[in-house]
Amino acid sequence: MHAHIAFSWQLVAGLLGVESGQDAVIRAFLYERKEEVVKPYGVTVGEFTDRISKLRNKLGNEGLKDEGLVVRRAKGAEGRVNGNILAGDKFSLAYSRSAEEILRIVYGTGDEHVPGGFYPVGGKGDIARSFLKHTS
Amino acid sequence: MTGKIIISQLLLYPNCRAIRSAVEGFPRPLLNLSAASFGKVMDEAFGKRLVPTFDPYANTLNFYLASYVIPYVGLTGYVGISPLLQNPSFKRVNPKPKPKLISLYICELSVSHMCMHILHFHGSLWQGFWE
Repeated sequence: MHAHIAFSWQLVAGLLGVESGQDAVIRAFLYERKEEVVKPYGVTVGEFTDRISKLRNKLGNEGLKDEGLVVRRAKGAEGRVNGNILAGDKFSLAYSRSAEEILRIVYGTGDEHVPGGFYPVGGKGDIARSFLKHTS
Repeated sequence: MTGKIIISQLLLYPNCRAIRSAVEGFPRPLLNLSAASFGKVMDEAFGKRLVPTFDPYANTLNFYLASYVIPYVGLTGYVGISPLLQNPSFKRVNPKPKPKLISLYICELSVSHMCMHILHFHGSLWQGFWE
């Protein structure tokens, strides 16, 4: 394996470790409060996470790759639990998304060519810019 | 209070610096992390306008709900990008080896330790897990 590829792998693995740690801490905190009602909306924390995860699935437009904190038992770990502290596929592996899917979600537009949301003028990296029609 | 301590620790992880030192870097994109921006995400998630508008900065719980919006998306992106690293066309964005790597691994290690601590201290987390 070429040195630059090995380095990229290591960088991505390192970032993945930290990112999954952040996700786990946030999910653990919310999981403890999943029955708590978010004022003044009268909606539980569990439903909030379910709605956010469903929105991300809708925007990503590539099927189910995201799950809230409470799921139907069939979707839980080994089909045995309805608590869903970590999101994963049927083998409890993290789901995978392409750059296009990520952009559709973080732009909030469902379209990698149309910036918005957290990135009002789009990303600045080569991949994000390649999808923008008018790059400066 | 625990919430504030955890978030302040997460914010201190300097992995952006590691990325920039590895891949030359590019200008930081314009970010909109305003309360209104998160409010809009929640409106879209519920398919209706929440009244009052969701404010991520109103309290600790809201802050955590807002924090839930991004990490899993980033994580799935790292999983998705890894096969592409073997493609020669990505050579241009691939970095030269630098010793910064070790710091990334220390970072990762401390996060896993932090998780273990949190799970340990919050034993109640597991009550009712196997329903």
